[in-house]
Amino acid sequence: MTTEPNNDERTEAFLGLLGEHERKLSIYVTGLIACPEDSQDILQEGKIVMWRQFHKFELGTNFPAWARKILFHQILAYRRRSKRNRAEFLSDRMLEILSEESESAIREQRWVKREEALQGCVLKLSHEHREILDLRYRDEASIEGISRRTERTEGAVYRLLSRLRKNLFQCVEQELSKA
Amino acid sequence: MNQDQKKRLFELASGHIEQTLSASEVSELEALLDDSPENLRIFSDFMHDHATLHWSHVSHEDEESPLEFSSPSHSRLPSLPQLLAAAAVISLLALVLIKPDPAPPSFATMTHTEAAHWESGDLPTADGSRIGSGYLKLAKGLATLSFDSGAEVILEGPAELELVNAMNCILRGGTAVVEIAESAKGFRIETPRANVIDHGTRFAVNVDPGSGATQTQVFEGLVEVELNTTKESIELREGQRNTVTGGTLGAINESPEEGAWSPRQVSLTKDSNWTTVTTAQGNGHDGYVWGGKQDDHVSDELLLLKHSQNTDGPHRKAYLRFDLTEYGLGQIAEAELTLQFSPTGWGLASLVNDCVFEVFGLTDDTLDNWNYPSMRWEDAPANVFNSGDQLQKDKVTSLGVFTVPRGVQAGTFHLHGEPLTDFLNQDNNRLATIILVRRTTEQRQGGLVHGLASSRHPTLPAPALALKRQ
Repeated sequence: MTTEPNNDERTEAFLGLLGEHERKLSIYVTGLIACPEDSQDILQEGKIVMWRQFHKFELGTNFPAWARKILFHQILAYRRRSKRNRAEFLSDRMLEILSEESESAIREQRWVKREEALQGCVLKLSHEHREILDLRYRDEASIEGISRRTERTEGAVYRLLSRLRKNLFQCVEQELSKA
Repeated sequence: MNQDQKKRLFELASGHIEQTLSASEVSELEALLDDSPENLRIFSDFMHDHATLHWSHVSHEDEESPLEFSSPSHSRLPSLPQLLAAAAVISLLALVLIKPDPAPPSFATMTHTEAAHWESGDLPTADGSRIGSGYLKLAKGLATLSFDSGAEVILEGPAELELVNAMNCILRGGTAVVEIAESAKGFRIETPRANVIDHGTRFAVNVDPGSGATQTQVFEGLVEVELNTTKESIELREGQRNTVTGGTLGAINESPEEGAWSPRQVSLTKDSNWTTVTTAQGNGHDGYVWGGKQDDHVSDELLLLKHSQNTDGPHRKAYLRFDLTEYGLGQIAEAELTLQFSPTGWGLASLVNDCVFEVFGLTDDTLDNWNYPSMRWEDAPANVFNSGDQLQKDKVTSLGVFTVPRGVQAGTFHLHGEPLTDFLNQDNNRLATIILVRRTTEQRQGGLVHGLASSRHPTLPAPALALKRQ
């Protein structure tokens, strides 16, 4: 049995692991609940829980898998507290199925290549379409905000974003099937 | 996989991302995901793409090139910026831990409530309270919320409203009347069926709490009504009305042209050719009569109007008399009747739909000398005793109708048009009696009693005729 690391070392280890995996963990949460703002809150709360529970984490084991378990519980708790109409959420059961699907995608490293392919597909978009994606994802503009900035109706922006996401998905699928 | 099913899966996934799915669409999505592992794989990957797009940006905010992806880090040690970012998180956490429940930011003020009874909710409801995101359930009465964005929402009980931020709220049921300043253009009311987006205007939205059916009526300006599901939208302009039921945008209805309803007192900005005659001047007079079943709803300050669903009442009809001796026969070029409505506090506004009122001119001059309060239902001029909205047709002429939308109880109403001008020009004894009835009955007993200010009202203006000479 190894000697217990002291507090400073633990803090350092936690910060190191969190820094290394934070982006992937964020993607995991947003992949499950879609809304980036909610994800932000869940991640923030999840980090507190991780920090409190870090003494239970065995250094050297799989940190992201441990962290995802905590985050998954945070997602369920967050949704329970939410005042939004619960019928407009995916059920807890479906969320569990999706979480398992994420775990297997991560195990199979399915998403490593996917991210690379997505990057290539984004670069193939027209300037105009990239701008729309930038507004939505970089500037976190609402549909309504994009509608004002691009002088399109909100309905048109919604449809365009839907189409762009679908086109990107199909482009990625094509790239992956070539490989 | 069937192409239609795949197409639908993408549609629903997009709705899931933008959080526009209804409860039934969520069920539909879940059924598709349960249907095959391939659907699940597609949805999961699609959501992963969405999340990647978001976080690739966010984690590279200060890099110039948009949409740049981080190369996978193989180093066991995190970079210094990563460490610093994480450290910042920890120090923030420390603050959060010390002060776990900071007051949520507020973005609106509960400016005024009138006979308000709150049922539940998690926001302060006292007049003058500052409020942030949360939920309000108004059992009855009226509550005025002023958003910092410049939007004002008058909630009429029973209603359920969720406040999201200074530009967004969700109306789950009931009626909200909205007026916005220039700064709040784009203010949005979400309902279970539709999004109502305000482009600088006054409008009322009513949501059926059961079906989510969403009725929008525009008093002034421009409003966009958008279906939650397909994002299909229409524009409503002044006087137009629309109801979204199920998954369809209804047709645009025009309100009667004669009446323009405004929920605010409007000052008459007429030029010097116009003069005003009120029921308080000369031999002018005003009053109302009640018939049928007796109740104790009386007012001396307001003229009450009600058309009960029961034929035996209680009903109320209002009478106005204007002294036109200053104006000779045929001397009036244009005329406008102005009435100031005010809440009576009797009956629930939610029990009556949009209310149609009809205005009549009394053509039988021998009947002009009625007197309030001695006038009774049985001897009121041209009255049909067994009806809440009928008058003796040979003694009156219709001057027009107007609609007071559901949820609106206060405001100024104007009626103008040729029938009014002609009636005033042709009244031989220069005493013009105008009679008001409510055509619409309540849906259930206990519906709203409408009231308009009489000449005895201490603060509100008396019924008035603005007249322009030939």
